[in-house]
Amino acid sequence: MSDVILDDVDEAEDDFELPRKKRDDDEMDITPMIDITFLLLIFFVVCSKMDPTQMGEIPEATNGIAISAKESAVVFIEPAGGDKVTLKRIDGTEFSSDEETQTSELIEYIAEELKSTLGQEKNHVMIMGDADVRVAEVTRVQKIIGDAFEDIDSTYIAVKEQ
Amino acid sequence: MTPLVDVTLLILIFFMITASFAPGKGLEFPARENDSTGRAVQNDASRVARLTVDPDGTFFLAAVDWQRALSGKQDLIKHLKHLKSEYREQIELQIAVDPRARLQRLVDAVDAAALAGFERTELSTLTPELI
Repeated sequence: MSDVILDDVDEAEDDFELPRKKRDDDEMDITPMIDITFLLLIFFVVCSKMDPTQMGEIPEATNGIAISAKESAVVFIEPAGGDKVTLKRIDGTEFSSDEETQTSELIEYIAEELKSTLGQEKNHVMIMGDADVRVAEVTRVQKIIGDAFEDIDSTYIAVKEQ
Repeated sequence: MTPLVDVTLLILIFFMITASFAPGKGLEFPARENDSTGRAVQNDASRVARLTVDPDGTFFLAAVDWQRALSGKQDLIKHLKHLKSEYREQIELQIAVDPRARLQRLVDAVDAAALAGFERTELSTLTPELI
């Protein structure tokens, strides 16, 4: 009698055992991880933009105002050996080294930059000066802008967060 | 499959590091013109402090009854805060920068003034005759 009951219990256990898919090896299933990785990758590819203004050694400061370089006319001032500097446009092209030509090119460039985004509040001028350039060079550019554009009340010197 | 995952992860890490979402930051400077040598300051001399930046980057802070040479930004912030509390906030700051000084030092001076609580500072560049 007892043997018969034991046999029934064994049969019941066999019935309730869930069918298990045997894997070839004991590795973890990485499919969800790959899915998430691809999602993140697509997110970063779509949302990030290579910003040339993030390059270089601009001065560090704590109290900067958030201002997008994309909404400003950007002038780069880079050291060119000794106390000399090179002025560059946002696309990387250099301004003339002759001071007079440089002034007219600079005015033309800023006027064009501000005009190209009229109506989109691109009325700032941002100076991306290297931390090591002399103040005189930055002041010279600021004065050229101040003389040529009476409606521009201020210029911005780009800084990176400390 | 594994090489694909490896490359994908590498690209993901690259984009995560190089991505920039926040806009850049800038310090605002009033527009300057060639024919103006700076606004005439007609403040009460007893309520004006003057900060001068040397070509080598040393700061000289001259208050009404004391003056000090300061070498670092933290030192400058400390003294500017002291100045602000000493005169119960009734003091204005003029910053004069030598044109031969580095841009970082100009930014340091303006930043330190803002950190110490000077809301409005007057900025000028020293002219060669005054150096």
